This record gives sequence, structure tokens and C-alpha cells, in this order.
Amino acid sequence: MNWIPLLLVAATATALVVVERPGIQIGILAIQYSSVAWLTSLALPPQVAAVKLVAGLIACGILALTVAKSRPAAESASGIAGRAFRAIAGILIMAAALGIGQSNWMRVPDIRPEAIMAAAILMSMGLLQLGLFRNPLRVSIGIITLLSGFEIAYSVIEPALAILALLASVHIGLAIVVSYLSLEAEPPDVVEGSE
Amino acid sequence: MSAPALIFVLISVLVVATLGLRRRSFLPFALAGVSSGLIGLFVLYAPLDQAISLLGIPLRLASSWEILGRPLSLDPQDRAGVGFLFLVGSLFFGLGWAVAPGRSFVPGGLIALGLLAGALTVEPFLFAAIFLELAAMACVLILIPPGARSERGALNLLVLYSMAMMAILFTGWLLENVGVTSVTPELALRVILLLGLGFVILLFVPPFHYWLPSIAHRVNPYSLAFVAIILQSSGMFFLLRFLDNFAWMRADPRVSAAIQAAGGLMIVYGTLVAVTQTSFPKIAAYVLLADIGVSLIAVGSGLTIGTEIAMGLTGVRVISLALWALGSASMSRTGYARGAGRKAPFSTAGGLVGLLSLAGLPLTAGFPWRWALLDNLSEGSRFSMLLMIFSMLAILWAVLRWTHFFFESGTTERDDVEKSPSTLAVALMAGACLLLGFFPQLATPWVAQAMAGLPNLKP
Repeated sequence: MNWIPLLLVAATATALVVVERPGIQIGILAIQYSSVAWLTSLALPPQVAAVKLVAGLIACGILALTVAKSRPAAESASGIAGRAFRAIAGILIMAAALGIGQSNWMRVPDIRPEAIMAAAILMSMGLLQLGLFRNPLRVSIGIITLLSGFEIAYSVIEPALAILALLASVHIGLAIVVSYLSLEAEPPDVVEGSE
Repeated sequence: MSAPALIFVLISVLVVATLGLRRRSFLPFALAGVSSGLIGLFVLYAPLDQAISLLGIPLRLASSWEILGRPLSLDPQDRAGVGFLFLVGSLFFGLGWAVAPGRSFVPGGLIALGLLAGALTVEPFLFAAIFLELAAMACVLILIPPGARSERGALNLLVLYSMAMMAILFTGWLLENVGVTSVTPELALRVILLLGLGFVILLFVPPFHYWLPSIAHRVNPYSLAFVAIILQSSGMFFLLRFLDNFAWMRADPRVSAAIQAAGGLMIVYGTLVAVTQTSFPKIAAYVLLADIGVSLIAVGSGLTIGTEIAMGLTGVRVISLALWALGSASMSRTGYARGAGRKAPFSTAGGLVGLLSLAGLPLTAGFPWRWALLDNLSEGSRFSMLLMIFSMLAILWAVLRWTHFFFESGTTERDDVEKSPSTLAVALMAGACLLLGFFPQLATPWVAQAMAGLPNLKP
């Protein structure tokens, strides 16, 4: 059964690179958070792992409200070519992550193979998103993906509730900052060449 | 009652109050400036964990506050750093109204200071990385006030601090649970590399400094100076705590060599890019890098007085950068154009003297500590000495070039670009800069208190 969240993580991380509509991205992010909570529950009691899910869903809620309230952004001109490029980049990075995730690359003791693989996938795809995008929403989703991968492994070695709560506050904080940048600040004047 | 809880409540009240007053031009700055100063003095001098009588009421303030099973402790080790941050806040909030850095400056600044205080007081201190990440988020609010253009550089700051957080948290686990010592060389190397990644980000070591110059010419210089000072100072305190706490790390020659190499790189890179800059706000970002590089040389030098000099440099950097920021923020109305010095002579002079002080030129606040370092560096560190002297001379040349550019004759005449509050603020900071240049011992009580909290690094 534990391969289900792993597959979901791989699918959502790739979809987040390719999909362009902000509303759909946030929906995918919510699914990704659920998968991460599932994988975290392999090492932590489910009620503790649920903290991640709740924090993640709060972050998604904030982002969804922001997208609903913000002015519609100018259509990005990536088109099919841009999406194809990002899909190919995503597949290549995914292949590398699958290779790295075969072994316990973080040398975390007692970690399940599914968890270490998911950590590799999320961290790699998070870095890819950070390299590709400049838009605040997509950058924040990149950071969230990266952090989620790290947290799957870190929760095995540091299951303290205080740390879990602090890391959860990082996700909510990121969503608030992006919401602020999207609603209060003027949009950047940089053309999103890569999107 | 515990002191950290009291500070937390006070900051929360102040944040709410200043948010309510954010449309006023003077009141939030004055309120935050005075309160932040009082909190700073309280942190530095209040008697903790002992019975006292306040207006006849018996009182005992505990130094520790437990939250979710983790204590926030205001130990002697942390008090100088936390007090320093609030005094920096007091200075920047107090003078901020003169240059109008934006409505989010005060509440965002208070949140950032509270989180950085949390970073310095949380036990075990390795969890500070999460507070630093949260503080970086608050700094984004300071850099991009409502209505300003969203800048990629601010997002880069978040990306970098997220990476630093992950590296330091993972290292923390290795140090606390795996038992890394000098007799476990493979693990020790892993820790050094991971910690190195975290600290190069926290201390703006190239190429992880790129968020700073990329927004230097787009955001208010005053906001940028505040953010750079509080984040970098916290990073420096954090580094010194690591060195103080782990004997094997202090003894490992690779660590001191890496710190010195990073310092040398920052001096060379910061100086060379600063002298070739065509943007005045950006030049300060690079001179700041060179200045931080000198601090790292001091820390990595192995001198018994090295840490003390690094602390002194951290303290006077506030004055130098505040002077530059005040001048530069007022000058921004001139567009930093040729002849700007004739339109805004006080502000321009302030900005230029601030740069000279950051570069450690004689008669300014930055000089005595650099002189102490140059005086103490041994024969073996001649290369570092040459780098520092080269940096000072090169930046002096660059500042002279900018002085000629701004005060070139035959251009615009003086008009009302300079407002009297900003002129007064520049004059105050210029006075402080010169005073600390002539009487560096004024900063030594704080340096002594900071060193008392680092017993293993104390001369």
C-alpha cells in the first residue's frame, strides 16, 4: 500500500512543473501534501503526521484565496513547446531522482525505502521548479515541494512535536508571504521567459 | 513570569499597535524605536532568575520559557546578541521616519526581530535555523512594502534561507545524535560541508549573496540595510555559538582555513565589483560583502582577540550602514544622477562617509577594529593583511570617483530634495560614526558582554 503515496508524490511533483493554471496547481499541491502526510505517517503516529496535512491544507487555502482575489495574470506565452520542454526536464530530473532514491542517500537510519525515494523525488523536483520559474506562486510551490521532501526524511530522525509545529509554520508563512506579494505588491516587471 | 514570554507579549502588542498606526508617519516609528530600545536594555541588564523588588512589589523573572516542550532561554550566552538586535531595531525604527521606508517596515521589522531573538534563545540552538527562515519571510515584507513592485531578489532570499535551514537542521541532528567528533573524520567532514553550506548563505558569502545586489537598486536602501544587518549579525552570532560549543570544530584546521578562505573571497570579490559598479545603491552591497569578509578573517585567524574584533566590527557596521542608508535613501529622490550632491549635499556626504566607514577608512567607526586586526595578524597572515589594505585603498578610490560624480560643478543647483528630518538623522549618524572612530572604547562594554557569553572563544 505504501507505494500509492510514492506514486502520487511522483505524479504531483511532475504535474506541478507542467501545469500552468494556478487553481489547478493548488489542487495538485493539496494532493501532494496528503501524500507527504501519508509517507510521514510511516515514521510518526498518524495523528502527529496529520499536523503536516492540516498545515499544508491551510497553506493551500491561503494560496487558493490569493489566486481568487488577485488580478488575472497576463497569459504566459510558453505554449505547447514550453510545456513539452518542462515535461522533458521533469522526466529527466525524475529519472535522476529515482536513481538517487534507490539507496539511503541521506543515510537516515530506519527510514523506509518509499520515504527516502519520495524525499529524493520531491527535493529534485522542487529544485527544478526553483530553477525554472520566477513567478512568486510557482517559486513558493517550488520551496514547498523541496521542504516537503526534506521533511519526510527529517521527521524520521527528529519526531519532536515542537519541530513539527515550527516546520508547519514555515509552510503557512510561505503561503502568507506569497499572498502578500500577490495582493499588496505590484507584479514584477520581468517577463516570464521560462514559463 | 519569564523574560522571553514577557518579550514575546510585548512584541505581539507592539506589532498589533504599529499595524493599527501604520498610516501615521511618525507615531509607529517612535513607538517601535523607544520600545525596542527598552527591550534591548532589559535584555542586556535585567537581573534574571533572582528575586528583585520593583516599586515595592517582589518579582522574579525567569530566564527560560518552555513552549511545546522546547525552552527559549535568555542565557548569558544569548543576551548580548538579543540585546544587540533590539538596539539595532531601536536605531533603525527611531530614525526611520526621516526616510519613510514603507508602511510594512515597523511591523515587519518587529516580527523579524522577535523571530531572530527566538533563533538566538531556542534550546537546543540548532533549531534556530527554522526561526531564521521565518525571520527571512518577515524580511520580505520589509523589503517589499505595500504598493511596491514585487522583486525576484526577495524571493531568492527565501529560497536561500530554506536551503540553509535544511542544511543546518540536518547537521544539528548529526551533531546531537550521531556524536560527531574529531575521531570520526568522515562524519566530521560531512558536518563541515553541510554546515558550510548553511553558513555561506547566512553570511552572504558569494555566490550566495546574489539576492542582495539584485534588489539593492530597486528597494529602499534603508530597508535593505536593516534587513542585511539583522540577518547577517544573527548569522555571525550563530556561527560563533557553533564554534564556542563544539571543541572539535574549533580545533579542526580545515574549519579555520575555510572561514579564512571565505573571508578572503568576500574581500576580493566585494572590492573588485564595488570599484567597477555604475550603480550607487549596489556599491554598498559589495562594500558590505568586503566588510563581512574582514570579520570572517578575524574569526578564522586563530587569534585570541579575533572573535572580539569580529564582534566589534559587527557592532560598528550598524552605524556605518545606517549612515549610508540614511544618506542614500534621501539621495534616491535625485535618482543618484550626476550632480546629485549639489541637490542634496548632506545626504550625499552621509552616504559617501558611510561607505568609507564600511570600508574601514581612518577617522571612521570601522577603522579602529580593522587596525586592531591588522596589528595582530601574524607573519603567516601577510596575504590577509595585504587583501585588507588593498580593499581599503580600492574602495577609497571608488568613493572619490563617486564624490567627483556627485559634486561635479556646472550641474544642478541645490533645491528642496533634502528634508530637515533626514538631514538631522544623517548628521546624528555621521557624528556617531566619527565618535566611534575616535573613541572605539565606547563599543567595548557590549563587546565584553558578548564575549562573556562565549567562554571558549574568550581571550
